Amino acid sequence: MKRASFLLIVLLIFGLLCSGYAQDMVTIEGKIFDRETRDPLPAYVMLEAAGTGITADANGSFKLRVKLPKDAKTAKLSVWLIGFKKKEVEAKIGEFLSIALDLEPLSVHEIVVSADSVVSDDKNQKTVTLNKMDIYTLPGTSADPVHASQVLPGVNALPDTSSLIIRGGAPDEVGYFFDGIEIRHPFLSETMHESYFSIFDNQVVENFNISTSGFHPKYGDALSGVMDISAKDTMAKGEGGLGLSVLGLNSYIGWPLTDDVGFVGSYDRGYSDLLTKLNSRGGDHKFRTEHAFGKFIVRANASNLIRIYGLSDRYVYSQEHSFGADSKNTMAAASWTLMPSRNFVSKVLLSGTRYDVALDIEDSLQIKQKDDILQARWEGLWDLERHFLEFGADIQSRRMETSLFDQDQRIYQTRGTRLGLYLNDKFRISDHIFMNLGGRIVSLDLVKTGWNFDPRVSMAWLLTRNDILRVSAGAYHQFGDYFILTKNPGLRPKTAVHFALSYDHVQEETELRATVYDKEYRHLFLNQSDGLVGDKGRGYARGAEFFLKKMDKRYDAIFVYNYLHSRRQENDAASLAPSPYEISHSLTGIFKWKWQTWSVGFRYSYASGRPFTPLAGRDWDFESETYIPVWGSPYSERYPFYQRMDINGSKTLNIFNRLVVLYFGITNLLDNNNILRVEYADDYSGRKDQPSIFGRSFFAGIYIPFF
Amino acid sequence: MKNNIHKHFQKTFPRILCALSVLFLIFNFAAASPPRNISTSSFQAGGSASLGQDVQEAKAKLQAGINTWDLELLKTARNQFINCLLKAKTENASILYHIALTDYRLITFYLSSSNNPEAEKSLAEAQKYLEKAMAADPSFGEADALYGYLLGFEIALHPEKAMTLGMSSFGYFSKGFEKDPENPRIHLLKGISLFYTPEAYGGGVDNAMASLNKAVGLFEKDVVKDPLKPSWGKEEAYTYLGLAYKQKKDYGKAKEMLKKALEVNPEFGLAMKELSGLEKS
Repeated sequence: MKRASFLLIVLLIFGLLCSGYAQDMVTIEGKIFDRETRDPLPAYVMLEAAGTGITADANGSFKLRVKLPKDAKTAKLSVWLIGFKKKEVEAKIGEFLSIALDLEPLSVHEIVVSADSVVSDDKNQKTVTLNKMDIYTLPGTSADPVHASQVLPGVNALPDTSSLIIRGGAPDEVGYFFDGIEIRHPFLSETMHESYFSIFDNQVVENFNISTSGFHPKYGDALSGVMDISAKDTMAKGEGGLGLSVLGLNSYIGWPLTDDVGFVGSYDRGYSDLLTKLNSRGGDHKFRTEHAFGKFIVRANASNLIRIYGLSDRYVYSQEHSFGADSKNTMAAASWTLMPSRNFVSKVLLSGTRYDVALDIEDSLQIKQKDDILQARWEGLWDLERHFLEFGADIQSRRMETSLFDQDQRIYQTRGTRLGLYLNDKFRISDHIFMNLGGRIVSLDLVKTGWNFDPRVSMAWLLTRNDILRVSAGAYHQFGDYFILTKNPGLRPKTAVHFALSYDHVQEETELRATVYDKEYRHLFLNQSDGLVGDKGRGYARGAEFFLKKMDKRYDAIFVYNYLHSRRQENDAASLAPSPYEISHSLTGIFKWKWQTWSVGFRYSYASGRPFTPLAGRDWDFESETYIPVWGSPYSERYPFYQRMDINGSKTLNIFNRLVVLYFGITNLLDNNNILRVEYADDYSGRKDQPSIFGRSFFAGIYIPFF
Repeated sequence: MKNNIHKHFQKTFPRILCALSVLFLIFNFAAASPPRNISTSSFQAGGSASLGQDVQEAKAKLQAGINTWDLELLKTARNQFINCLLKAKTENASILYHIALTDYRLITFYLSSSNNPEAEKSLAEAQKYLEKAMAADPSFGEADALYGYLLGFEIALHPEKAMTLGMSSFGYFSKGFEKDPENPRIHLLKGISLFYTPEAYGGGVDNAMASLNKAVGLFEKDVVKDPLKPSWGKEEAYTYLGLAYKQKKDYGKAKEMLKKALEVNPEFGLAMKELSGLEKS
């Protein structure tokens, strides 16, 4: 009996224990969807109590069969899908769940905040991009990064010119950076009229980034825009090739020498002879170009990277009996990148650049110019999750010399040291609003104005997943020509204040941008009657832009329209006059068609004429016994409108186990006579309109990869 | 006019991927060994184990899925990894990486059964996880390398992106090497990618062997103590080396390598199938 009661007690206790732990199989069911689009989501559902879970199917439905304590009325679930915010749900047992997930906020780095940047970063899905491959394949761009960027919204320059006119700003208002080095002479020939190439070799371009306003405080001494190009870096395997075309040869190699040392190099040589012969042009002008670039990348250890690089460019141009130019650009640089911790990067860059040009005008006047620049830059990046801090300092020492040789020799020299400091904080205000807040201070020892402060602010607001609104405002200073500053040390730096508002719609195959902007200029230089220069000039550039890019398997299409209204009181224009850089309407349409191994591109460009100052008459000067011109009202006449049609194409062939590319192009297919400048007779008796050197011309080439 | 250096990638990558999918198709049939007695339900019991143990368990499940080429096992492993991630509370780069690694296996599975839409979904997921992993731990070179490797699949699915992605792919591999030069798995992925790249485009069996030999050498020294860190690949390195020897018609060496692979993992389906094929002929 005792035994029986003992058993009974044991059973009773066991039963009690069991009832305490009694579990039932229950089913938790539901559907998961995106709150914004209502699309079903295959999210993962985890039951907190059991620490396990299940992935919903493609329709967002899930059914979780699980053992729960008998008396459990609710169960705590965690619902999550990559790219969405984790959600905790208190599920009532037996109830069908409807779970909406919200998009996870983007990280601070994932969004371009500045109002109008165009980047070549494939991964950045939230802004308008110009692919680096577009440089090669856009018709009429001579495969040059600067020319390719002329199809962007906000760039008003004509395809015949090399300089960038950004939103009505003067060409020298644009800052150029190559692998972190500020480049003062980016073009083989410095003219507003016609030019083929910049000094940047497309073969070594890795990324480029163009800002038409709202640019980062790390860039200074530029009023209108910035083009920042970075060269290729480390690679895992060799790449390269050799190209031959009617313009000459080009070659490129990228090679990992060892596991820790890489090399990137290019060499090109160009001649105009064949091009002019092929297009049966008069041989009155010809040019040749030479370009070399080399870069060593050395990884000292996991957190130290050293780069040593150099560039050399030569351009020789001659026009029989009238004009000759010989320009050289050389650059040498070394940089050291240090990553002391996971969220901090420091980079020191030292560089020297030399620009050397000799101009020979009608065998009577020789001009020699030298511009030597030494630069040191330090940049720091500090990632603090919600904040992304960038700061740094740059010092630039510049020595310039101009020599004039006619009957006698005159030499002008100047030198100046510029110092800049910047700080920028990129941060997130909410899930949808990103801010850039920064500033730059800068000074130049040539002028007496001390430190100048450029505050810059921009905001990006993600309206939906594909729509984004960007606003920016900022002040920009530029010191101007050092020779003028030497004579006029009281000049305040030229100032521009930008306001821009843009709307982007970026989907996988479509990129659209519409922008309105206002740029107000102050302290523009004005020529005074006493021969000195004042800084009371002012001006503005206002406009709107529209950009549409559509990509498909078979074709790519780009349409760009820019409207610009600009007035400037500058140089000889004593009151507000039309800006010499005002191209009121410009339009570009591009269509690229791809079929198997063929690709054919077509481009049409239209631009209204720029203003110029007409000749009103001439006066006889008794003293010098020559006619002197009497100029009309500043910039009161305009060149005729410009238009050009280009076509290009390529075909790939498999020869000797290499994927050989054959390509051709015709620039100015319709042979329009575009007038980009006028010339006057020596006695100012008549005017001659000068057509652009870009008449109809045909070129072709072949590219053979090494590997 | 200068010209385009990268166009050849347009051709290369689809070829790599065709080759890959064919290989996995063969593998798929070959590995149709009787499924072992592992629960294929996507819901797993448990919950009290430590994170390290959970990750180990998920890794074992993933490897079992690869050994037998079993879709359900792969899916289960994936769920387990996500579970670990949610348990970890923070964004653990290693766990994020393992989810992407499982997705990579799923992509090859789907491609071999010509299920491109599913492959594409898995690819998009894998990329998101790796991007997170790279952000969570910028010094984690394996994530870069896998990301670069996966871009090859993106090109296979979207040949029109070949020109740009081909270059990016190598860029990510470089980054991987830069961060972790002695990592056997990065060399293995590079070796596999070179194995399927035609010689004319810088790949080929000799180049692949160089990377695979390096990988094998590094695997012999590779000791992964942290259960969260990636530890896969040794048997695959030997197997691919075996395949390379087979292609060079050095069948003796090929068998030797495949046997070594089976010493590391006696259940590895691809090595079993290749070895039995060689022994029959």
